[in-house]
Amino acid sequence: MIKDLHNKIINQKITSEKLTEDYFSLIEKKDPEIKAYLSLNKEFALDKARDVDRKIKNGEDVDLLAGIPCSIKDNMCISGLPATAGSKILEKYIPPYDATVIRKLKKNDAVLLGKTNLDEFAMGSSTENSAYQVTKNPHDASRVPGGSSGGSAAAVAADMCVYALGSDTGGSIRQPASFCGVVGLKPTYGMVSRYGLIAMASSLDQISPVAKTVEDAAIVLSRISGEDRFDSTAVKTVSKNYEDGLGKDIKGLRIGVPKEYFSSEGLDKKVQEKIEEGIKKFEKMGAEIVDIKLPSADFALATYYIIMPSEVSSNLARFDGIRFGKSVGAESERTGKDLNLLEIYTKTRAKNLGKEVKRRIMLGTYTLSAGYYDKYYAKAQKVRALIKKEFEGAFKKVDLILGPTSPTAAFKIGEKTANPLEMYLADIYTVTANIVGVPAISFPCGSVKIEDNNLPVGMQLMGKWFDEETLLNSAYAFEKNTKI
Amino acid sequence: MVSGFRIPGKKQKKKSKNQSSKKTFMLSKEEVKKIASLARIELNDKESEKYSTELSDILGFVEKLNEADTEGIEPIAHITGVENAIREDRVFEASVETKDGVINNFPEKKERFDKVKAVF
Repeated sequence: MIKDLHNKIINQKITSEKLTEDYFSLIEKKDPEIKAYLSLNKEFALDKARDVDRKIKNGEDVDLLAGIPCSIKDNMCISGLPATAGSKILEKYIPPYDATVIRKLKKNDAVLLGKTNLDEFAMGSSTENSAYQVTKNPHDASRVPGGSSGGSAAAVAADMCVYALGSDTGGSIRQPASFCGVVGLKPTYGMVSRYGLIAMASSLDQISPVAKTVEDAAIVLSRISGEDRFDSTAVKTVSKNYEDGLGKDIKGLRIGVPKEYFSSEGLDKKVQEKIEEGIKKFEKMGAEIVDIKLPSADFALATYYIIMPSEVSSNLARFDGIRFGKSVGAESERTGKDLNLLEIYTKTRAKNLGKEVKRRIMLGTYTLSAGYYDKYYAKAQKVRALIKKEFEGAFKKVDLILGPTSPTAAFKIGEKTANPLEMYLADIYTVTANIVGVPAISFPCGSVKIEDNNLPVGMQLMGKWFDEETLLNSAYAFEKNTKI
Repeated sequence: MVSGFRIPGKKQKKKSKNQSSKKTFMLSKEEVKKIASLARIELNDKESEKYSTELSDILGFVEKLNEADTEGIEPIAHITGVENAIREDRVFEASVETKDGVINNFPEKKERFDKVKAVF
């Protein structure tokens, strides 16, 4: 889709300005119902679009992303524009700098339409934890778009942007991509700089593209990845144009299918059927399906729900009402109530952080506290090493690991909000890739009929560390093969 | 040995009934209050009670890690294997706009200073 639009723009069949205006019209028409966007930057976007049109008229070479409208999850910083992270505590926060990914997109003349909704601080699997609004699934407005990048996936699915940047800590890109019928790619940990991404769990977070096609995701990844002096975990990789590596034959590709992924009681039967059909398609294309065992995968979710909140409790300590964000201190000044420093911390956090955020901060505070550190955090770090070892073993035998992205199709709004633990289970297939750091992609593999609506089902492939090339090529082959 | 990829649904509930005598990981209301004060979050009585149930449920779920045999396994904090990533010890001057941007985000300020209550 990006390549087609790019060709139209450079051949002057359409101007970027017109394209951008068209997308804003679609947003005005659809977003009052879908509620994917938290803020729009019309002037800023149109200025950029006109700038690209000028360059093309002058005969300058422009990048594939030049003049193409996209959206950014509201936990990434764009200088001078609000970045709420879906939280009340950052309601008035205006970052004075660009995230590295934004700097890179701007360098390639991307048109940034606006910021999309998310679960508060990316904590959730349905986008219902946003302090601002509940985003609807474009395929069925009574259902969630998934989360936490629900705004990103819904905006792409409803044609309110060409592609989106989201973030994935335990499945926050892949699960919403699955629920909304689009492509979501979580790169290998370290591929993309996290500088300017409001941190949730630093050893798991990774900025990731959401797109209509695998090729589009590849195009975006090529442009946002690479080392960065602002993020020591962003490693030096051979810079590649991943889109150029697509279209290779997948004959002889070894795809591992873990038995454990299909013997769970929570996996919806209809979803399972779709995944099994998908496996057969891969077989027909010449891939070799290999049964593998990942016994420790059973521990992945529990490991995640110790490591993630531990890191959350530490990362979110900065929201204390002192240096930025909302503060009860300012109010007490006006009303003349005299609060001491400790009260400013505790009341600011009590008032401006949401329930799920508080829950995870407290959980993490507990698992890191004296007397419980070894029992929880240290144990989880060991299990993390164990799971990683198991994956290293598996990847000696296979090139990719296949499974469902989520155990179910999109669930109803409100269905899981009463029970936090039940909501956590939506991440059961996705967290493992973050725990071991491997790249993973979710792409559409059909739909299931529920209450007269066809709901998309996503298939997940996990690849070897830094082997995005094989991962993308295989998903691309599947996509090409299933197009009607 | 592990029979399947267990999603604790109804079966798990049965299991936790059997474990109900084992209340070692239950977090009492008082413990929740202690944690909240460490985390600098003010909680009222009702909230403490609710979090006591919810956090205990989650802690009950993660108890399954005890089944994992981690004898002789070294813990890892992250997966890149990168050690001591250091940068050049040099100051990169920020622009006036960036500096102003930082100052404008102070909840309370006096001139160009962040205004903070006395610590003591």
